[in-house]
Amino acid sequence: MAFQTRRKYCFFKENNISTVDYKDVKLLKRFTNDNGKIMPRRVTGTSAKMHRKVVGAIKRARTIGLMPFVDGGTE
Amino acid sequence: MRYYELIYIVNSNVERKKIDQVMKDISSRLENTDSKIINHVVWGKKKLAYPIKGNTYGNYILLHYEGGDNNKLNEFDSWLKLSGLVIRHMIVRLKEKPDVVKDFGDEKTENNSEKKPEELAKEKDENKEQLEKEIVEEDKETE
Repeated sequence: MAFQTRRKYCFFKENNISTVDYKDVKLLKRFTNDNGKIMPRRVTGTSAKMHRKVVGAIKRARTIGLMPFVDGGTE
Repeated sequence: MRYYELIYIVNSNVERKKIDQVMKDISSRLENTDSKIINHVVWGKKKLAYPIKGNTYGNYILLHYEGGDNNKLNEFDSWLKLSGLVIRHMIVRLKEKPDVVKDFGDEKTENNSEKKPEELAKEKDENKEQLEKEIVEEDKETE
């Protein structure tokens, strides 16, 4: 059986992004699942440093109503 | 000097005039705290991710300023909460001096609103596929 391992990479390192803005919802949506939960680092492959920034930004975006705390997926 | 970003949401059902009035009120109140306003721009009408005080839409307004008197700023923060002018607000400290922005995407909200959900949906699908792949791989690994 063909067994392929996909290389995990840090999205930010690949794209040379060093800061995460909470207003950039399009970017932050990459790091949440359909329910609006923050995905773990082992899934997204983000570096620890950037993951902390992402988490902070998502929480800020939630506070100001840009991102959902819980998304039922019904729209 | 410390730089801050204030983002606040105004009820989307009010007229443009009322929004200008609110912006003026907040500006004058902030200037009383010896702060310098760098930017004060309307970000646009957006759908809220969850209803806030019975509103499903809101007008987002951004305000960048250089902090003045700290005690007065604390007062300003609580005044904003009690005034009832805004649905919700948040103050964030910035690491660097913000650039001066002109017309921060006011046109974004109306013209691109049709495209945006589609793009987002596409991205979401892509993300999903990737995720599913990864999950499958992980399952294999664990087996």
